[in-house]
This record gives sequence, structure tokens and C-alpha cells, in this order.
Amino acid sequence: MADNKKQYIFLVDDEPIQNEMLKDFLSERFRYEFKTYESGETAIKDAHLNPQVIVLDYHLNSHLPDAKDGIEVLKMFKEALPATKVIMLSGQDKIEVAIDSMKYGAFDYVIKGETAFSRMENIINYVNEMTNIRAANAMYKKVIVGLCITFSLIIVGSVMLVLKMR
Amino acid sequence: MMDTPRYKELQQLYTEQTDEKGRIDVLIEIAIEVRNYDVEEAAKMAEDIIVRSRAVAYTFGIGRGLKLKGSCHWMKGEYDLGLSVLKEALAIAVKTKDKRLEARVLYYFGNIYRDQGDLANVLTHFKKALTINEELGDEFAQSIILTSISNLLYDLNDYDSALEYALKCLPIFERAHNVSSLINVYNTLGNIYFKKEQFPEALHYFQENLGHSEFETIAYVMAESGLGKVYYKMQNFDNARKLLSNALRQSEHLGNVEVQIICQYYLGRMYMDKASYRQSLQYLNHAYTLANEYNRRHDLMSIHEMMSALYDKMGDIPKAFHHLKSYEQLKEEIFKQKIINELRNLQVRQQIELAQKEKEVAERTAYLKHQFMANMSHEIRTPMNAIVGMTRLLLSKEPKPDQLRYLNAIQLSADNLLIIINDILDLSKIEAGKIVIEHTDFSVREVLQSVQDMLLLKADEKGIQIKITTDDAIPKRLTGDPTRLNQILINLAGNAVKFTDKGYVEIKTTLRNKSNKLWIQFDVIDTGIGISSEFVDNIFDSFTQAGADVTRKFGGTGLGLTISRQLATLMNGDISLKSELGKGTVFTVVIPFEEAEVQDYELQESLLDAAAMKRLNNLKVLLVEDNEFNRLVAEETLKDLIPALRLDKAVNGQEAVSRLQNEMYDIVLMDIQMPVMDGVTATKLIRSTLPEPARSVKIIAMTANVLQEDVAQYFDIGMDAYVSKPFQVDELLLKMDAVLGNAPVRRPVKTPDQVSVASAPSKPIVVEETPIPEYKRTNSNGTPFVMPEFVTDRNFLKQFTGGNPEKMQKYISMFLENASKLLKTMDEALEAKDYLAVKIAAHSLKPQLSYMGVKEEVSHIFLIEQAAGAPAHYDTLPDRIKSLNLICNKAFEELKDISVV
Repeated sequence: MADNKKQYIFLVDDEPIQNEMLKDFLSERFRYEFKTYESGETAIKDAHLNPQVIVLDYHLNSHLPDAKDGIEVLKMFKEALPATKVIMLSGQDKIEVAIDSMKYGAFDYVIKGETAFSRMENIINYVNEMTNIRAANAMYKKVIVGLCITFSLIIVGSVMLVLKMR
Repeated sequence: MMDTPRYKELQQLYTEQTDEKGRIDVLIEIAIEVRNYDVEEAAKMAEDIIVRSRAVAYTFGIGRGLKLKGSCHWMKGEYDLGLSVLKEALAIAVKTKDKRLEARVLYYFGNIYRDQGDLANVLTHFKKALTINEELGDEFAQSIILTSISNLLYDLNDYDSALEYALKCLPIFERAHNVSSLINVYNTLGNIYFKKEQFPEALHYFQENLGHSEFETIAYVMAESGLGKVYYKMQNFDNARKLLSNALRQSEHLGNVEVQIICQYYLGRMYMDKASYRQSLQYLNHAYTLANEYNRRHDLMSIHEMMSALYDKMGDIPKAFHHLKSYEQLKEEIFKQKIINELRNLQVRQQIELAQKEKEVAERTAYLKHQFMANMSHEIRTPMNAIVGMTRLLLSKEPKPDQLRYLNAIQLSADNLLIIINDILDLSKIEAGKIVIEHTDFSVREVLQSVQDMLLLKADEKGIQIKITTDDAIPKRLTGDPTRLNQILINLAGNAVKFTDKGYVEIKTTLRNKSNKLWIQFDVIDTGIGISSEFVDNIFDSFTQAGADVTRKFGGTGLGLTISRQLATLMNGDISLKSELGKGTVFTVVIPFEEAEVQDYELQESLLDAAAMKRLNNLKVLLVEDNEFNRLVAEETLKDLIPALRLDKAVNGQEAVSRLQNEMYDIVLMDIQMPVMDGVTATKLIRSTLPEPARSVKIIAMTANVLQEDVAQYFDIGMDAYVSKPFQVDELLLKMDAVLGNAPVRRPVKTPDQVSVASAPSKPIVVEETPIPEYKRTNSNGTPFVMPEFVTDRNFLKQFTGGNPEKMQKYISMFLENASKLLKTMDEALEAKDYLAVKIAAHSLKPQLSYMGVKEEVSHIFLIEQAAGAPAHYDTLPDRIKSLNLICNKAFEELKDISVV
């Protein structure tokens, strides 16, 4: 894409090892800027960076009673940045987790484990693809509108011409 | 009569061709189409094609024509002619490097061999053809051959695999809308389902064929005959007779041998069932003559079998016998080669990479063998249990001197018999690849001591000495399989004592070679009768002893040496002997071991002490056993030893479950094989339907099934321990003590997880109980908890980081730091009974453990997380977390060892 702005992905998980591994894994594969956060509160402060994707732990900081959990952080982000895709990470293969995540607007959800990394890669690929398609779509729209205007001008012009000839 | 659209289309195309070669090409297509309806005509066309191709020197045409002619010969049952024509075609295909033609020719070769019952040849031809088609990427042609392989498997009575292949082809043919191939595969499917006795499916496919094929074609009569035989099996005789007679008449008209034979065969069977023997004989005789004339050995086999049954019913025993013989002979000829191959594969399984199919067949054989062994072992051990136990009871009842003598004799014989049974079972297990070589820490000196202890009595009786000399250079503790080493040494030294009348038996142990492994040599030296040179070479073969009279004189099965050699080989060692008649024998065993990492162990003697007996004293035990004698033995034995023990009895699983509903027990001793409800089902019921505390009652399996998978299964369904029957009292008491939570602290690195045979079980292996009764294991394992040799596995990390050591190290250090924190949190939370915090910590730890390759089967971290969320399971947490700590500590150790990277 044309713009020069940096594109960000936020990784939000209170397990540093999870953040680190995911960051290493994804940064080898995508040209994004990666930022890691141990809590939702610190992540939301950087919302102005307008990250394209946020990977969010579902059980975020459940050992700290006052900290916001993953779903709360998800809600906050969806409110602040509706276009950002939030992918939930969960240690558990439970349907409730999936339903909860999707209900509050998560783009997808992934179970932690050995396969989580490649799944994440696929999802981000998919996000990219969608973004590209959207961009292309917008461009087509513009082109079509432009063409319509041109055609109508031509038609109007020729009608005028015919009328004049009479 | 030829008016299919395809035919017309081809005719049209033919007239449009401008040169002779083009015309020949189209003619070939036409002939193939005609072949579906009129083989005779197709054969004539093939001849025409060959002649015309030769006239213009069109090799491609000649090859195709020959192939076509060969296939027509096959369809008409003219196998010899077919083979010679196909040979010509093959030569052309090879010469012109026409792969496609070669594959087809090979395919027809295979088909002819199949009809002749030469199965080994069929398989090689089909395989070659399949490879060629794979190379060509011709999915359709591959499927045609797969259908034939399916037919072949069907011939071999392997219906499941046949079905698998046929179902694989089905969608490909359906996609291609190729009617003749579809008809072929439907026919195959119908036949398979017929044999599997799934008659509705069979009917469906045959009916499908009836719909697809034209009236008065081979396919049509095939379908009719198929329907007929299904109806016959479904006892719908009227329909069956109608269809079969009809198909017979038409197939005679069409000149199709196969269908004629099928129809006559089943009509014969039907009349036999109706007791019209004369008519039955007439049909079968016809079928026989035809099958004989066309040399269809498979059909002949079935006909012989049926005729034997028929003559038997007619009372003509000599003729019945004659046919039975012929049947068996044919069966042997057809299946023999296959079976020999299978057996050979079984033996050299590690060396040869088997073709997928053969491997499956071999596994099935092994499975059947296993089944047989488990049953046999149960059948023999149950009564043996009673004999051994009753004798022991009687001996404790102060018998008169002469009674004592008899009882001793009984005991000795029973023990001998047990050893023989164990030998045979051991040998079968080795041959079936079921023996697992352990890798545990042990002391060679202890093993030698126990060998000496066991043989001392015998040696004393004979007035010979037993000497043990051990090389000081051998480390205190080694890693290897002490049980199997003991078994080898007992076998060898036991023989030595048996065959030595004066002098001594010496076991000399020397460290032979210290490279990365410690090669230790055991010499078992005796001054006995020796072995003459003619027997030295094959003394290690099964059932060979030094001279035929040895068995009579000295007893034994002659399997001991065979087993010893097999075991030595399994441990990557070797066994040899030197002997001189009259002077003595030296058996030399050389086995590689590893030096144990920890040398200074305080040996945990897991023996029954007074405290343990006291703990067992006030127990309430439920004994579940169907065999009256075994019940009596167990009851008397336990009551003798533990007077205050309260023992209730149940005769089957159902009774046990209902007793547990009403009463509390500390331990249930559960037999496995019982009528009404077996032990496994009962345990499942107890563990899933009963309320606490009955649900978590300790259950010890008592069984004669000593195979490993069975034992692993018992633990899987929730049993706490197992003893093999006939049980040793000490062992039973120890296990009872252990399941009550008084298990002696287990040493680390104490498990068999190294599997040296082909099968690598994914479950934690439970140490196999050695069936030799006298031998007390050095590492008795009372509970299902076993620690694998390595709890971590860096494969994932390696793959994840692409083998980058710095990155791996980074994650590992993060894990080391983080995981110990989490463990501490978990411990503290457990202490404070803050189960939510336990759950959260477990949840965090779970993915990290998986990244380090610590499997759930080992860590049970998921179970901990679940249990911490369910109050009913809180009581399991302390134990689970304790073992998690042990495992994690071991994991930390392993991960800190950077050299592994």
C-alpha cells in the first residue's frame, strides 16, 4: 500500500513467554511493527497507534482481581478502534470462550498450544487479504463512479448535439 | 445389437478418419466398447486390428491389438492363450517404452493369475502396474487396478481392506461416469458386503448393477447371480432360485464360465439345504467340471468344500473325506505362499520396510496371536492359581509327614508347570514383538545375588557350589533391563546346575569394553555333562535340547536358551557357547549397558514391614471373583495373614457394584474375566455412576492377563493397581498398602519408557510384571504413576525456532523463571485452599509445558486445572500437584542441560 505509516500488531498477554514466542514467530513472517503488553490497560494507552491486529489473551490477568480481563479489554478496543481486528487467544478449548469472544466482536479465536502459531499466521494472512480486497474494492468503486459520470456527460453532450443539428 | 451412443459416435468417427492408423486407433476404441457386450466379437476385432496394424507396420496398433486380444482370452477363460498373447504385447510395450500399454498388459496378466488362484503373482503384477500409473498420474487407471487389488484382498478373505480399496475407487469412477468400471466396482462391493453379511448393502450394489447394465450382457447376469446368492443367504429361496436359474441360463448362452459356476454352486447349496441331495450333487458336479476345465482354483476350493459337506450329509463318508482333502490341499496351495511371506515379514519386520498392505496383514496376524495368548494364559493360569493357592493353604495346616511329601511334590510340579507356561508365553511375546526392554537403573551385583539366591537351594541339594565373581571395574549402578538380564542368567545358570552333578557353577562378570556403552560379559561356567558338537550349532533353536532323551531325563521345555538368545538380541547383545562333552560348558553373554547417572542410591527396600501389616490390619476389603476355588484361596490367604481384615465377597461385577452402593470398602480386589459383568465394565460403572466415596474406592485388578496393553487399559479406566494371578501374597499385600497411599517413595528415573521393539505406545507404560514367581523384582511398581525417562522434548522448540540455539535458550530461560513462579503460586494457593488461584496458575502453565514438550499424559496439568474447578475433585489435587512438582523439577533439570541443544 502506498502510505508510509507503520502498521502495528499488538500482542497482549500476561505470560511473557507466550508474547515473546508469538512475536518472534510473527515478526519473521510479517512486516509489521510488534508491540507486546502485559495488561490491557497499558495496551489501550497505545490505541492512537491504530494497530491493524490485536492478539488478546482471553484469561488476561485473571490472578489480579482489579485488572481488566480479556473480554473487557476486547470491548474497550472495539469501541475505540472498530476497524481493528482482535484475535482472542485462549488456553482452553471451550465453546463458551469462542461464543463470548465472537459476541463482543473478536475477529477469530485461537487455542494456545503448539499449533497456535501457525493458525495465527493464517489468520493474519487472511486479515491482510481482506484489507487488500477492501482497498481494491474501494478503488473499483471510485473508478466505476468516474466512468458513470464520463458516460453520462458523453450522452448528454451527444443529445445536445443532436438537438442542435435539428 | 450394438446401439449404444458411444458405439455410434465411434462409428461416425471411424468414417471420418482419413488414414489407416487413425482408423485403427478408432477401431481399438470400438473394440473396447464392444468387449463390454460381446467378447467373441471383440476378439475377432482385435485379430483384425493386429493384422491391419502389421500391414502398415503400426507398432502402437499391434501392441493395443494384442492387449485387447489377451483381455478377451481372459474374459473367455482361455488363460494359457491369454498369457502367451499378453507376453507378446508386453514385449512390444517394453520395446517401444509405451508405459501406458505396459501398465494395462500387466493388469490383465494380474487378472488371469487371479482367476487361476496364483495370488502371489497377481500382487506383483498389479503392483508394477500401479507404480506405472502412479508415475503417469493416471488416476482413473490407478483406480481400475485398485479395484482389482480389492478383488484380490477379497480372495484373501481380507474383506475390510478390500472394502477400503473399493470405496476409494468408487467416487473416481462415479466422477468419470465410466459405466463398465462402475459396474465392476459395484460388483466388487456387492461381493464384499455379501461376505461381510451386510446383505442390504450387497443387495443395493447388485441391484444398482442390474440397473446399469443392458439385458443379456455379462454384467447383467453377474448382477443377477449376485442378487441370487444374497437372497439365498437371506433365506429368500424363491427369489434366489428364480434369479440364479435365470442367470445360469443366460450365462450358458453368453458362454460366461464365472457366472455359470456361481449359479450352479449356489443352486447346489440351496438344494442341499432343502435336502434334495441328488439335485444338489448334479449342480455341484457341473460347477466342478467347469471350474476344473478352466482351472479356476478358487472356485474349485469352494466347490470341494461344499461337496464334502454334501457327501457327508448323504452318508458317503469316503467321498466326503476325499473332497475335504482336496479342499484343504487347494486352500493350502493358494494361501501358503502368502502366509509364509507374512511370517517372514513378522520376523524381519525391523529390517524391511513393508508394503503398506502386507504390514496391515501382519499386524492382524499378530493381533490374533496376542488374543490367543491372552486367552491361553488366562485359561491355564486360572486353574493353576487354584492349585498353587490350595497347596499353600494345606501346607500351612500342619499336614501329616506323608501328606507333606505329596503336597511338596504338588507344589514343585505346579511351579515347574508355571515356568513352562511362562516360557511359552514369553517366546510368543518375543516373536510377536510384544516384549519391551526397560531402561531403568539397577545394580548388576544385586541381580547376580538374586540369581545365586534362587539357585542356591537346588545346588545345595546336588552338592555343587555356586560361585559369583564380579569385575570391580563395573560401576555400581547401570541402566538397562534387570528383569530380562535376570531371566537370561537364571535360564543359563539354572541349566548349568541342572546338568552338573559334581564340581561347581560359576557366573563370572567382566567389563569388556568401555566406550560410550559398557559392554559387560557374563560367563556362566559349569563342570557338567557338556554338549556334543553336533548340537552346539542349533542349541538355541526352539525345542532343541542336547539329544532327544534330555527332556525325559531333565525336564524343561528346551525353550530357555531360545528365549535367552532372543532377549539378549533385543538388548543388542549376543550369546554364544563353548562346550566339551563330559568336561563342561561355558555360556557367554555380552550385553551393552549404560552407566547410571546417579551412582549412590540408597536402595529402597519396598518390603512389607510390621508397620505396613498394621496398616492393613483393619481394612475392609471386597473380593470380586467368580471362581469358587480362587475365592477360597484369596480369602484364606488374606485371613491367615491379616486376622482383623474384614472380607466380603462378590461373584461378579454386577454384585460388586450393588455391594458398593450399600457399603463402604477400603479396597476392591477385582477379577477381570467374570460372567454377567466383567471387572472392566464394573470398574467403569463404579468410577462413573456411583456417588462418592464409593466412586473413588481403590480397585486392584487381579488377572491372568499379563499382557501390557491390557494392563495399561486397566489403569486407563481407573484401576489403581494390578496383580497377576496366581498372585504372590507379598506382592498383593504390598500393592494393597501402596494403593492406600503408603507407597514407598519411588526413586527418580525408574521407568521403562524406552521401547526397543517396533510398537511405541503413547501411553505411559506400566512395568510389565515378570511372570517368574520366585523372582522378586528390584523395582516393583505398585501404582500407575510412572515417570518417563525424559519428560521434556525439544522437538517443538527446535522446529519453532528453526534450530536457533539462542532463541531456544531464551524461551527455556523464560520458562524456567516463569514456571517455577507458577508452581510456587500453585503450592501456596493449594495450601490456602484457594482453588481458583490453583486453576488460574494451572491454566497459565499448561501451554508453556506443551511448548517444552511435557505431555499431558505426564504432567496432568489439564486435569489439575479441571479438578481445581470442580469441588468433587479437590481431594485429588495434593497428589497431582505433588507429582507435577516432581515432573517439573525433572523438566527443569533436563532443560538446564544445555548440552542437549
